[in-house]
Amino acid sequence: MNIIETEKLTRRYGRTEAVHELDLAVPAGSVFALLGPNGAGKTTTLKVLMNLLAPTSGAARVLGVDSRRLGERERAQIGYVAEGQEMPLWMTVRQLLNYCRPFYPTWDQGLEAALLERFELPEKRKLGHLSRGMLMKAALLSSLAYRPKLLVLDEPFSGLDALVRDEFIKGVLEVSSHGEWTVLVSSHDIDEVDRLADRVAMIDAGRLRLQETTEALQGRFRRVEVTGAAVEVGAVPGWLEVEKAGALIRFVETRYAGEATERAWQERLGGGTFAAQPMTLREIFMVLARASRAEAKERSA
Amino acid sequence: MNLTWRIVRKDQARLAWPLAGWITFAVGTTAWFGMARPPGYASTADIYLSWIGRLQGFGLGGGVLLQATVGVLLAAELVIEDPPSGTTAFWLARPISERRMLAAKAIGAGLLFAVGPALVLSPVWLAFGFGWPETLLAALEFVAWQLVITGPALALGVATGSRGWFALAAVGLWLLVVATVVTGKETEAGRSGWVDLRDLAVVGTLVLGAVLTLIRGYLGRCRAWAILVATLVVMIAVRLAWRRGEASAVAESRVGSAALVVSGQGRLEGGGDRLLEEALVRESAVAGTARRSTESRGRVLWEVPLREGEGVQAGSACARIVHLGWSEDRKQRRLVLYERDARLAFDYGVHRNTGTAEGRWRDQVKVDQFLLVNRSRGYAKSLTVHEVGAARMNSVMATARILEFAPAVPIGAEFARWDEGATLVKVRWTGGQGGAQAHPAAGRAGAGEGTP
Repeated sequence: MNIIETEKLTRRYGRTEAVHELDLAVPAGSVFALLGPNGAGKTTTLKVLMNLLAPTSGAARVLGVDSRRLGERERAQIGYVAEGQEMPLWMTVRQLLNYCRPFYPTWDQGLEAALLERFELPEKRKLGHLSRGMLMKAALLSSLAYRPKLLVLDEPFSGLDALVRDEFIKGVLEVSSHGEWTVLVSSHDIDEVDRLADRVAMIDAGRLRLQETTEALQGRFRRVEVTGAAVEVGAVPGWLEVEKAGALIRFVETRYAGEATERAWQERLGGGTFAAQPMTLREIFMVLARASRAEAKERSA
Repeated sequence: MNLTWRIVRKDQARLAWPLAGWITFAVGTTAWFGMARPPGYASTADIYLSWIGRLQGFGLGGGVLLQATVGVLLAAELVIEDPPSGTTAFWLARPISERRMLAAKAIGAGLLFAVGPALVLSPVWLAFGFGWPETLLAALEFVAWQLVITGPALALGVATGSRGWFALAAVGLWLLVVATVVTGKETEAGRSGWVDLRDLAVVGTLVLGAVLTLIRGYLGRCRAWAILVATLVVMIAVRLAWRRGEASAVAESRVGSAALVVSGQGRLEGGGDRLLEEALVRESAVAGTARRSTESRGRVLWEVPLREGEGVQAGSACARIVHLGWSEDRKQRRLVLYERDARLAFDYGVHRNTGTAEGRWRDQVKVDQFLLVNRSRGYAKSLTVHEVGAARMNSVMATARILEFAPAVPIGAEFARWDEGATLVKVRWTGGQGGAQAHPAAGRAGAGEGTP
């Protein structure tokens, strides 16, 4: 069952198309990362899903409800923490929690206390006097304490130092491991998402580039180095960033499937020695982003 | 606690200190205004002119401009705290529906800027002798005034969504209002304190537009600029298109006042026993050659012995003779009278500047007359009134007048004691039907039952 589904979701700002016919499916219980460079359309997508923006065309369903009809009942089951989200800075941390609590029938005071302690948030300090990291943690706390079915995090790591990021991620992981929570996180910070996500979607220029489990993605990407190839190499479907340096050929295989793929390499290059290395999510993202950019350049040329 | 009230409580907590300061300021200035007394030592009108000028400045600066400006800023803050538009507001990501937020803001604005302050002001009004009906009316007037002030501020808050843009738009709107007032021609109705129906229509349009902007803004989660702009266009159109029947209004007003003074004086000197018991019927010119017969009834508001420093408090009406002397040529007796009273904006009535002459005539509601009555010597005189000025703050009105009259006895042996036992009586003539009842003092004055 999918907690979020979009169908040809499109959002324009005037003539600029921020999101183009996006088809997303976020399964229940998954930690889903929406990746993409700055300006890719991640934040716009999340805002449409949260009904903060109306779609220009297409549709989105969140918790089984059309995103444009998200009501108090659905919102009480969604936690949303976003970079740039306004907070009532005049309130203390305690006042914020006291204010939010009655709006959520499922608010868990035990979890609230545990998170308060874990995040080391000073209850009596005003939000306006908190550091950025602390403020994000306060926002996260006020969005976790009611055990939302869906937690949406939009660029939550921006501007946070390594220590706070670590605490933040641990907090999300810990809480999400407690129940059937679905987490949708958008970020351009791949290293952090790598630790969190079990599914990933990549968008660029508002278009969906890929959508699959992290395991499958990392399984099909390999950085390959070939020495002693007998034939020249040209454009090969599924190969990216093909480079030749003397007798050394480097490329990124995007359809790696074990021995069958390695046999195909042998056939295409007429022998040689192959070294195939698994790639991190970050490396995969960089390769795809560069390919996407080159493709766009070609199209415009 | 209901979730809507939860938001109201949150807003109340957010604005608690500035709101407390604002209400304290409103209460403090009103109390000070009501307790201010004119100097009692000067015989020239300039001193009182200067005093009432200061009071007017205080009433306008402190009571209107400062009170309204702070009220506008607080009202805007109420909306900007949870703006309906944009995508980053805290409440938008929380389980708070648009209807709930609209209801919370409407209730909050009503309680924090209208009902609450009116309740806090009520003891001040009661302390000044306002009766319960007067206090209720004063509270209603305060609420209406706040609606006019905070309504547009809330709407502008919705349309701008941020403090910076609000400040810019508010300054622009303020300049527009000032330009309209400065370029507008003051009418006789406006000078005499009447509420002009055309201005009422313009203000009503503003309030209605503000309410619609607020509703559309929150329910549609948008800035609703179109409604605000349409409101301004309609306001300007009403002002330009609604032509006044100004000449007729001026004529009516003057004819009416003069007729009352002459008739009142004549009757009292002729015995006066039926002065306040029978309706005064007079025939006056209204518009062009038309004449109209109207009926007025008088009632005594208060009576005070003619001595310097004497005063009277009758309900909300507080009067004091602050000076009793002579005019420069020593031919006229002159007294300076200070009055404080409950005076609502609608007290004079609504001036309808269109429609038939008959309709306009009915709008002329009240004329006050001051009489010098000496029952032991058997004379009464209507006094000439020179209005020094009047100032108003939150339904408390302070007035300074110079009243003059020629002594009723020739200069000679009797001169020194001519005013022994004399009293100053204020009579209010009310036009139209009903509403006037004879004061107990009226019967005594007419029957000559001795000095008060």
